[in-house]
Amino acid sequence: MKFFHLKTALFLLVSTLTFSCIDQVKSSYSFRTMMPIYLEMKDVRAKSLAPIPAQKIESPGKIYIYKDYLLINEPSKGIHIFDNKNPANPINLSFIPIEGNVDLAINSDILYADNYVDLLAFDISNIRAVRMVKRIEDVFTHLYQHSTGKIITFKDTVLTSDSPRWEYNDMWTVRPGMSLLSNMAKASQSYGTGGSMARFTLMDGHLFAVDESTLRVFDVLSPAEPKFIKPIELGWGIETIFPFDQKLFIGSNRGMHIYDASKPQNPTRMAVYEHVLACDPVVVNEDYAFVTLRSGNFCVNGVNELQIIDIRDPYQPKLTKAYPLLNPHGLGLAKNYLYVAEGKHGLKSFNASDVLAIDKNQLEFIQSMKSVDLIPGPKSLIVIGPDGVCQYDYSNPAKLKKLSCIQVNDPIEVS
Amino acid sequence: MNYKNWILLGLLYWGSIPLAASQEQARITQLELGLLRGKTKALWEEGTLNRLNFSFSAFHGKEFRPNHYLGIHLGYDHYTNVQLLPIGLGYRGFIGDDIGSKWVVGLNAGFGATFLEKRERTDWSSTWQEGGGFFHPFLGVYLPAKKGKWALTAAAGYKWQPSNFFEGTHSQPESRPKIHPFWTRDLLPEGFSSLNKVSTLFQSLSFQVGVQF
Repeated sequence: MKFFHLKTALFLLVSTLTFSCIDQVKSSYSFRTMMPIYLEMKDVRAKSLAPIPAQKIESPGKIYIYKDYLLINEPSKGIHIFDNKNPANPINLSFIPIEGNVDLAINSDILYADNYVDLLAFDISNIRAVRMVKRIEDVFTHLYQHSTGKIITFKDTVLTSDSPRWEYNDMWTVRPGMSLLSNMAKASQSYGTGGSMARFTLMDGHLFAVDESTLRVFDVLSPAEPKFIKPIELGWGIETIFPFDQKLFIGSNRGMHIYDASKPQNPTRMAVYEHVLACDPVVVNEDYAFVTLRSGNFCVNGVNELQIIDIRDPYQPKLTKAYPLLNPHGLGLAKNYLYVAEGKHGLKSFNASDVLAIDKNQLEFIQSMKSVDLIPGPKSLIVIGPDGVCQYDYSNPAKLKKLSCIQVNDPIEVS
Repeated sequence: MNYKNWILLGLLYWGSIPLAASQEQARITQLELGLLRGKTKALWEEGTLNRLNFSFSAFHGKEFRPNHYLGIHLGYDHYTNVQLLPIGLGYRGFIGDDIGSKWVVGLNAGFGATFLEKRERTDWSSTWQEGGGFFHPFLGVYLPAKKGKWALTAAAGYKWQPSNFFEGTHSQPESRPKIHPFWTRDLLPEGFSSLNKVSTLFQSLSFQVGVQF
């Protein structure tokens, strides 16, 4: 018996070494991409724009403070309205579903919002009964795809193939971080009245809207009857617009444009301050522009700094001083205090009264407060980051105190 | 001593501790060394490549019916590109006379873990390995020593073990992507812009020899 089993063991060994099975190897490649979606504007215009009950925020876009209300754009989906009488407890009131919306501005109870190629005006005098009062068609025409006359928009999508490749049959795909709308959405990840990353702004009875390359001017002297006046070509890479003292400070990824808007219906270029390719939100006071340059996304030059630009002669802007930072995103100026969102590194506050010694006057650096943009509002400092839309008491700039956070489903990715 | 060595030491310790009490309580312990033989299909080329991998396993079981044992199975499988630690349950059944050699049928099943594999991360990308559930039936012989409770064992079988290799590009440079457990994960984990997954189903003929006490 034992001899028989020894033979069996040897047989099993020989069999194992002689025969074998074949492993199955499969490869799959999943990638996030922006899928083009073609829309007919007539279909978009046919949809209801009536407010609906409050919705949870998926991913916050631009933010606007108006009276006691906080309006938060959901990029390409619409606008959330919050009652912000008490910043420690903002109450979600309603949602206006506006497809293709990425920016907003409010003038005398009239809310302006883009709806792909159209500009809409809503009467918000009764915040619980918002209604559309005007639609100006075909003003943001850069969204039209010329060959078809349709709108081209993009949907963030995950595709899977059996091998790594960028091209797909019957479609073209782009990396999400490289697409224009995505870039707009990124740029739109915050703002409000005076927000450093806004693309809509109001000044002297006019609405100014920038897209990637064009400044568009609207007459809103009669708020409920906005009129499109003209487009002004600016050059590629436009990111933000900031109004101050009858001037428009337009941040692009190559520099800062200064436009004289003393005749708001016809802004004229005063100067262009150029720097290396980088993303650069701008805020301004009487004498200086504060510009943050950062690397990442399109902004690939590895520059992370705060530049102080002397604009006392707006025709001759001059770099006064540059301070190295970690990875600055949005910034805000309130009186002499400067607040900088440092991405994943946190949030910094400075006393900026002496622009030559800002680095020596850092008041607070809260590393736990990851942030991409901020807005110094009348009641609170609004900070947008991975925790959602948070509000801070900033009565003491050296000691910010968290009041509340509006949670979001899809937190902003902070690099 | 790093954690890998601790795990290997733990396996040996676990296998040796129940020695003394095993017989009185109708328990058995098996320690086996083995070979896993298979063929790997080249991913981008025609043809196959032979592979012969090393394997170690330990089983400690309790008799639940005469000649039938259920217990815990731990092991170590060194495949060409990945080291797996099989953790699971095992069954052993003995067929034959009470005295002398016997046939052994067995089954191990559980999860092949990748504790020994290090996750590599750069500013731009991450690579890591994940294991999967395994299934290992086998047939063998039990050859008792003339004296004492020791016996030699030898068996051949088939081992089915999936394993996955991942290489992901971060959405943003220096981001810290979150990788949730695979059973709760979407197609693309949070924080990644792309993910290349190479799934290998190791199908091996196994041969193992060892001792039982």
